[in-house]
Amino acid sequence: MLGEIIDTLIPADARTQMPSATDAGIEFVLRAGPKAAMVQDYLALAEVVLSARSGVESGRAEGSFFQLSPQQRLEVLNATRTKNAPLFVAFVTALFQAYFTCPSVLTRVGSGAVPPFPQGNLLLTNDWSILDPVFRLGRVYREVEA
Amino acid sequence: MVSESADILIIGSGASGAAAAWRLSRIPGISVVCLEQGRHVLPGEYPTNSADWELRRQDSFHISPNVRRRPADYPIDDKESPIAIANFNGVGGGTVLYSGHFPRFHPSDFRCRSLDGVGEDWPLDYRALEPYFQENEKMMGVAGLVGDPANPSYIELQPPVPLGAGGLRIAEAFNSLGWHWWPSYSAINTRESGGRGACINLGPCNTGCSQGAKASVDVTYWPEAYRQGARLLTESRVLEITLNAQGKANGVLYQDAAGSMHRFSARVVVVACNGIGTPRLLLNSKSPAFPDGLANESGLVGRNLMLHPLGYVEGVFEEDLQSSIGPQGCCLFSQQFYETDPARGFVRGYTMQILRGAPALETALAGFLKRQINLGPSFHGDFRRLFNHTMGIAVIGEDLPELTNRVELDPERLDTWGMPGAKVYYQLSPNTRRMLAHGLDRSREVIEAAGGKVVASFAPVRNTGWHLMGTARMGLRRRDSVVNEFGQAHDVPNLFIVDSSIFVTGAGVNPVPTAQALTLYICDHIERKLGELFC
Repeated sequence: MLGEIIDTLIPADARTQMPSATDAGIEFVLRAGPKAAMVQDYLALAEVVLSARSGVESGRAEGSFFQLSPQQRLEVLNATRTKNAPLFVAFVTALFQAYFTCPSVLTRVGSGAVPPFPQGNLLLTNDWSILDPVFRLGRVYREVEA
Repeated sequence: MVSESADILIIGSGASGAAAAWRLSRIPGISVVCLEQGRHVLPGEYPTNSADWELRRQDSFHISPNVRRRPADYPIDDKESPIAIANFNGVGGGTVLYSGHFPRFHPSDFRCRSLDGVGEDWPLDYRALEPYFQENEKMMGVAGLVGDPANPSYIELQPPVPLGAGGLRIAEAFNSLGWHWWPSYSAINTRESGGRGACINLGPCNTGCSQGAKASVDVTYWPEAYRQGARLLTESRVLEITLNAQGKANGVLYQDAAGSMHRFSARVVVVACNGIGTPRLLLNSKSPAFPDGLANESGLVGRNLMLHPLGYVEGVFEEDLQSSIGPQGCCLFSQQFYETDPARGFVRGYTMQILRGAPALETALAGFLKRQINLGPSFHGDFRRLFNHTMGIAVIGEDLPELTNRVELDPERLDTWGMPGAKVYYQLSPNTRRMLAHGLDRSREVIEAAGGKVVASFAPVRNTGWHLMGTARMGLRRRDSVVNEFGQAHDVPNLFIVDSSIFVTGAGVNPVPTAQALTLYICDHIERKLGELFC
């Protein structure tokens, strides 16, 4: 169910050509990463919410998630926020941390060079005549007698 | 116990310690050794070498020692302060993680009492430091533009860091309001200089510069100091400065990484551990002559802590400004409201520093928590309306020295060597609160004049306690200062303090250039008086 959950929260987007969370390989990162225990806790929370919603016995509700429309899935996940906000925020934080450190994601959103070093980025030099009005202000600091 | 010695011993290898090592190692025939509790950080270790750099700056490169928890970090309890303390313990000190803002104090900053009736006057003035500002800027490499009407003229600077599309929008807004602004004075090479490369706009200067373009002192002063014979011993935590029978400093006790205790003897001791570390070391150096801590006859060691409370305003713009690209901190600044104007309802003033947009992960998390980014089908659209579309304004206000704002030893929390940590007590004064409120109002005006929509405006910002000043202040009278006008302890003639803890007032700009200029000034004095000091 983890893949379906994270793709509900971060779906693919054709217009911006952004991958879904699973397409970006995030499911594996969440399952095997340092926050795997918290992820399991969140899945258990989702199971409880799903069970209450569908009337299916707790521990067997996972299958019902697959039957829901994307909007219904989002409603279930928003209900987990209501039930345990700190855990929901921790889960979304871990999801974002994995998604927005994925090189292909960073490249597509316009983060510049990924990683920043050694390629770096270009910034154009300025025409400093834009400072003409500032010169016309005259001195704006206080002179002090020695 | 292992025993070693040098003519001059420096404690701390950061902004001031490095400048002292360079200057003092130019004296012929003098041995100079610096003890640093941290280690060298190699450029390849910096977060910007990997795609997950935003995660690493929240962990091993976090600005808080309480989060970072490297072996060299000591605990700082800052729960009694609305501003959390930031530092870095390693070769280069705080300059490793600073943004590189490099403005000088103004002439009026040294005359607060005479001009505005608050704080104290410094025992020296801007003119006395001016040649040292210039020497320091040459050593560090500073970009900017001469001719700024808000500052006495600079002689030579490298070309400014580019504004980017976002900076240009804000600059035009300042012009439309008729307010001062100027490209940032930045300790960032914008052309190859000093054996270091030019800036390639990696972005997060405050995670360490892999390119070496940012002037952290491990790549500026230290290579020169080594060439002149200065020695640097890393992973060496000084626990105590010791005295001889005549009441003069005769060296220190320090522990190495393995926990072995060393005795290091010296004829002159120079302390450069910043506004938290310096009072911590002095307070921990108790003796029958100084039962309340070394050089603390006045009772002012640890008192008058100043932190530069910071306000923040963020705006969102319709256009993609590519605002996350470029040195994050250094862009442009305004000192329209720097000098005192009684009509504003507060004394002294502030600098507005314009910040580029947040990187991707920070944008996503902040947007989610502030409910600007929704999960589900609208996620990517919401994210793109924010990312590369934001600009920020930091209001850096001058907080005045107050006895109750202080650093004490914390015997409850010990570092890895068993030395007490530090506990910080700090509150914002009514003057500071009025100043920040004024700064937030003016910053919102700027964002709106630039065509942006204000989406955040608050003060103080908690994780901004970089500027640690005033806790061993200088002065002419023994009863209300710790050191004299040459950084020399009133009570211990061969003990000098050169970091920003000796600041009398804090001004409204970043302290490193003034701390380093002061260091060079003091070291000139040490050289002139060496004969007396070595007696």
